[in-house]
Amino acid sequence: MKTYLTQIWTISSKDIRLEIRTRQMTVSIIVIVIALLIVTNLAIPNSADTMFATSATVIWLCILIASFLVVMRNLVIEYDPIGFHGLIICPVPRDAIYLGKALSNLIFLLAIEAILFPLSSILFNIPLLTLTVAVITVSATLGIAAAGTLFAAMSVNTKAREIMLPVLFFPAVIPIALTAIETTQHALQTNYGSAIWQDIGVLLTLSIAITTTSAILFTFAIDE
Amino acid sequence: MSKFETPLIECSNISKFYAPERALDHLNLTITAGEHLLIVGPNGSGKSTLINIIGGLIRPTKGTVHINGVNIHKASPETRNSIGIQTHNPFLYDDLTGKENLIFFGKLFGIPDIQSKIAETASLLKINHILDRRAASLSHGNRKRLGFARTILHNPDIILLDEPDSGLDSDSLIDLRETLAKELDNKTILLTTHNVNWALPLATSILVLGNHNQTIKMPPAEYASLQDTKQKL
Repeated sequence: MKTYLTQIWTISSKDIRLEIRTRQMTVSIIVIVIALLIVTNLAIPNSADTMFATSATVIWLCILIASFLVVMRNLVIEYDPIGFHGLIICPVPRDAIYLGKALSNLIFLLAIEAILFPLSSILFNIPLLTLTVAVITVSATLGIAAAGTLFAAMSVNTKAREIMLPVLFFPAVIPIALTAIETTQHALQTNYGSAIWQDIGVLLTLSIAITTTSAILFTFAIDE
Repeated sequence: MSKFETPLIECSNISKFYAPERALDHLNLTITAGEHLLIVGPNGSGKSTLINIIGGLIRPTKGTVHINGVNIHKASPETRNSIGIQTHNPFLYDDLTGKENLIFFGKLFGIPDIQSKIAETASLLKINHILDRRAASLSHGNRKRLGFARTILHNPDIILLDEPDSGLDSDSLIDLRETLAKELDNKTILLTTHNVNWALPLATSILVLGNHNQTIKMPPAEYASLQDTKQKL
């Protein structure tokens, strides 16, 4: 078990080290996300009736776009220069490769969200920095990172991978994005009460189901 | 039974199709432990495909490859640990240094004392001076040497090398051949090359792959005499 966890962390930490060194992904994604937030904040009328729905939708759309860019970049690390072959030649179970890549995607996304949420809280003037929103965010991001990692692996060996990845990724994460938007809205409503934890339970179950299924399917996805 | 008589790798009836081409067609091959097999043939004859299939990187369209009786595509980590493979791609991360690349792969191969193993391998291959440089900044030849270091770092029993000589200068070619001949003599080595004269002294057998899927395995002396006859003709 220790070896398995070490293998997962070795793969993830390599991705993190590469990103810290090059900053190729996070800087550009953060700029895109900030631009999206500012434009939508200025363009969409922010009435009291729709404030929570609008802000939750905008935030999760930003996260979806950031997720796509993160998994795309993390795919490129493995494709160019070496493809998943560099990892396949190692005596590492395929699901450990998957979990290593999914973990690094999750960490990158959480790092971006750590900037996105305080900024959104200020721009939309809503209480986003709470424990419930944090749990919702981690739960939904887990599912999105898990699905993205699988679809990145499926598209890496196709000739049209730049087309294949969005075609596979966006439809697959719609259920989790809609659930996350709704749960975030509920978390922002002070009168929603403890029922929010049932919503979070549904979201977390969905994410864990996606992660488990993706780990199994990944083994077939990276085979030629 | 000597080590040269023990079947280690068995390719049974393997075919690989890249429509409409057939890279390999019903190839049967047995490689014994300690054998140094030189694989030669013209471009497109399936040399790289054969190396990639035996290394478990690609699946054959038909047929199976067994290593020590285990199907390579269902192999345990222990079986994978017995293989070191270098393809045309050195499998390096451009933005990691040479040493970081070796540490990364060393950890995944479960090497216990990585630092001393890297030092030992770097001395053997004379690559100490490139260990602290990013892989992206290395010349083609040095990337190749670093890729070879990654291939042998975990002390594999089977070494698969796809044109390891390409892009190397004459000194590096001599060094590589000496390393293979002296330090890795007890390993099973499969090596493809177009530079037959360079590799012939290493070989204990030759596999000739033809463009029309004819395959012939022969001893080096027989191959050398065939080459002599061709030149005289």
